[in-house]
Amino acid sequence: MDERLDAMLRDAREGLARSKVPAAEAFVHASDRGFARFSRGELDQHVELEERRAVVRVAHTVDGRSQIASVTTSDISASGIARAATRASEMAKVTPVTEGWPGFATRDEPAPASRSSIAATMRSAEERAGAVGRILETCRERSLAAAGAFESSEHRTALVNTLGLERAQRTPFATCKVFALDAGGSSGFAQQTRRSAADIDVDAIASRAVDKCMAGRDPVALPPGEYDVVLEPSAVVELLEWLAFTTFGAREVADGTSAFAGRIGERVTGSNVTLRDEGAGDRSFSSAFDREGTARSSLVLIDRGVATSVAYDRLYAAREGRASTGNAAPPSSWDDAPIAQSLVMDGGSDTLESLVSKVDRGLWITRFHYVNGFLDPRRTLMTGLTRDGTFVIDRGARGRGVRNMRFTDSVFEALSRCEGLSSLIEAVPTWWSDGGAFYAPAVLLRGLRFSGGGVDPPPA
Amino acid sequence: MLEALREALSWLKKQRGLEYAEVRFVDEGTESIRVRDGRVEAVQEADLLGVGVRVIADGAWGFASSSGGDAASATRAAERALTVARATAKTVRERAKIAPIEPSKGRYDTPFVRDPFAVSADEKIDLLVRATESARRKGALVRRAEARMGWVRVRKALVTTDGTEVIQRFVFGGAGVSCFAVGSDGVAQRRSLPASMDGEAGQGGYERVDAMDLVATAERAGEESVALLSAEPLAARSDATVILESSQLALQVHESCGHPCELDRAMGTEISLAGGSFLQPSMLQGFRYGSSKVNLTADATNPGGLGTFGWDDEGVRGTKTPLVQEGMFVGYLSSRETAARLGVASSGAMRADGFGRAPLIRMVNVNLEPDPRGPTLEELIADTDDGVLLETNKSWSIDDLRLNFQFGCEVAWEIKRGKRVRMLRDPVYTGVTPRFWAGCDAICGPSDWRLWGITTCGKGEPMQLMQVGHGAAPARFYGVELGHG
Repeated sequence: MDERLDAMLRDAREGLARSKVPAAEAFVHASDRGFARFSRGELDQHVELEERRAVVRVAHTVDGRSQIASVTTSDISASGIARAATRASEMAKVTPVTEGWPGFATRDEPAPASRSSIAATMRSAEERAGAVGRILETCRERSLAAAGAFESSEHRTALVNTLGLERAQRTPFATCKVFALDAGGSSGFAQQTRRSAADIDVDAIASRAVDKCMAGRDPVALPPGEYDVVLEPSAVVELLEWLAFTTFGAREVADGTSAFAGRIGERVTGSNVTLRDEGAGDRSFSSAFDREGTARSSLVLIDRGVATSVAYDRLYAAREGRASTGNAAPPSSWDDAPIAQSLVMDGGSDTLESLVSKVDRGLWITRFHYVNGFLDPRRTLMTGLTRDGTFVIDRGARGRGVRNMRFTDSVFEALSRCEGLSSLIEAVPTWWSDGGAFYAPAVLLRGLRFSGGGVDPPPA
Repeated sequence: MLEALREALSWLKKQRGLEYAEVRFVDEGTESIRVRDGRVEAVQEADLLGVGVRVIADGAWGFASSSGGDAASATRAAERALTVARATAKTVRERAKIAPIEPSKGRYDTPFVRDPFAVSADEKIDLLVRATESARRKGALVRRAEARMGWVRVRKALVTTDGTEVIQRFVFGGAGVSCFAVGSDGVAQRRSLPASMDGEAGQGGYERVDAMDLVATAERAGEESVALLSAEPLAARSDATVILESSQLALQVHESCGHPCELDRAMGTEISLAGGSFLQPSMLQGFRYGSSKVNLTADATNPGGLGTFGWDDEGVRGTKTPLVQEGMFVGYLSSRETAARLGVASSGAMRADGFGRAPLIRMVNVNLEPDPRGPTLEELIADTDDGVLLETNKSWSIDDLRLNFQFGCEVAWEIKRGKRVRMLRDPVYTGVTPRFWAGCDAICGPSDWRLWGITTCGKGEPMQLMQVGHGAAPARFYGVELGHG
């Protein structure tokens, strides 16, 4: 095992032992991140971040009823973890009982699936700068400004609890995105996300963004209405992110605010749509276990259009007499409820081009911006805007650029009108989860409802 | 603490090619409690501390962070920041420059009466439990009642090669409740008070919560969530008259004024995440942003504001900057670098999320100023023949230039002949920023002005969350489109 992971496990084990707290869990996360952000044709925000965090959770149990509290610290040494455990223990003793608490995971829990290892990917500052320099040059050659970011990071996660459960994993992450921009307001976007920075092809990304920008010059404004659309994977993932927030978690289903509430076993989308939360396996960007140590699995949420499963952590699972699905919320999240963190939408048999060829008159959408899924979560009603590469599809071929438009529609209803998916699925980073990504194909949806046409900026 | 920072700064000053450096220590302690339906969901504390170092060397920026607050951590971050800047310098065509400032030495402390970290967990939990129980008593249709409270204390120190040495201590937090009611037909409605997301948040001590009457607030939230189930949906129409209550107006200001007035967005350096701005520098002083009633300011001096401080993270003293005066666009939120490009002084808006992120231009308290002779809310309603009053944000979406927006609210009140006549559900309004603000014909007076706090404004990459304030009094708008568009 990686020496640093060994050290993290050792310090967590020692810290809990030193605290003498009888029931505790330490989730330790260490990230080393290199992030080169560029805009206006310059590399202007280049950072190296050393992030360390231990979340220590303690259960104070009397007569089988547990009081729970947690303390987070940036000191991940054994003494830092011991201090956090002692403080959490003090807090737990004055906290009311958490009803239905099932206890920490035991060492008999199924082990997470193993993954193939990835070579070190933490590129040096010089290598990152060099990669960005090539992107900037590609855009300059076409008289375009470039913006975007190149990240190469290493995340390490270790979990130890007082029942003897130990988990540890290294999860490298690399992503690059490029926006090519012209003076007239046209922009083109492309990205790649991989587990290894060595697999990122910055030249291909830059070329694709440039092509989008050039093709989108002098965009036309279209009126609101229903349009057949081909969504690229980045656009699809924006919608999946909001489904993850509002739909698949056990709490939202139990509360009745989710579109899955009362509909498990019913058809919710077209039969060509299968969506799973795939935390196991080589392609996942998350660790193979959740913050409680439960092995992540391949949880089928929508099976050929039918709502099938819900995401549980240990507490929500125990309250319903089920087993955790390995979906405890990451400790940095705003909320504690279980959430799908590794969504993968299955592909179909098309290519992006063959999807476009099936549309007589419609829109090709590269990505969405500022989607919001709180309009009516029961209906998966969402709104958002197109951005960075929206084109008319005219008789099966890409046409002129289109000014950004606002859609407002039910995502499940739109997926019920899905008439094709690309076989290639792409990883796209989730904006709310550093180091996380979902996978999606390109999709063809009939009749997506656009509630607003493009707006021209006032003259500068 | 300062000694460790001075040591790292002293090392940096000896390095070849160094033009500017700032070394910042941050120790952030947080406490959060969430109660749901009378049961404690989470009791959490966190303490994260470390050092962030930003430099200009060989004409390029570099930033690095390190956990730990000792001299070794600070020097490690300084070395890496310098390495990053030198690597970056090989790509830059335009050398980084910042506007000069007078160095500061001093200290800022949040004034408070009752230290929230000295208030027992028992007292806080008891209040939240009673709040959720009072909401649940409003009937079985209340499916979930949640109450949350959070507190943050921040110790921050900054030393720069300008000679600035400042120490700041902040205390802020707040509380709020939200209820979900689900009808037999499956319709779900949420009611959040005093505001959505963070509830009421600001700088200060536990006296903020003492003044809230959270139990009565929760009771109202429960009652209104149930009432919404039988309310009719607000019908779509164009050309409506709308009054926005102040918490929704605060978010309207945040999205359609605060963000487009950030000079980094206007100059294109936030394209890769949040987008740009329709407010370009060439429009300063000459562009009509709204009606002559509209005055917007960026004020880092408001007592109790989440955007209030002594100095920003570049050492610029907190100040008040006009953004829109009598409807005309006149100013930006800026940094020393972006201000230098315009040949003006920084507005002092650079802040970083904790120690581990580089400072960005962030909103301070961006406020819609009250009309000194404006009406009260009740007088404004009485003056409205046919309109709706919209309360509490439910959804938000705006384009990358901050022009085309759509907001959903939790509740609408129909106004007929100067009176609130009935509750309506699922209100949504849509607009284009300058057209919307051009329709503002009345703003309530100072007695209705309230300073709200948002603790999770997201910007930058890697993502940074920031606390910002927004003051607003209810205001009336003509010609608004209701419905999804």
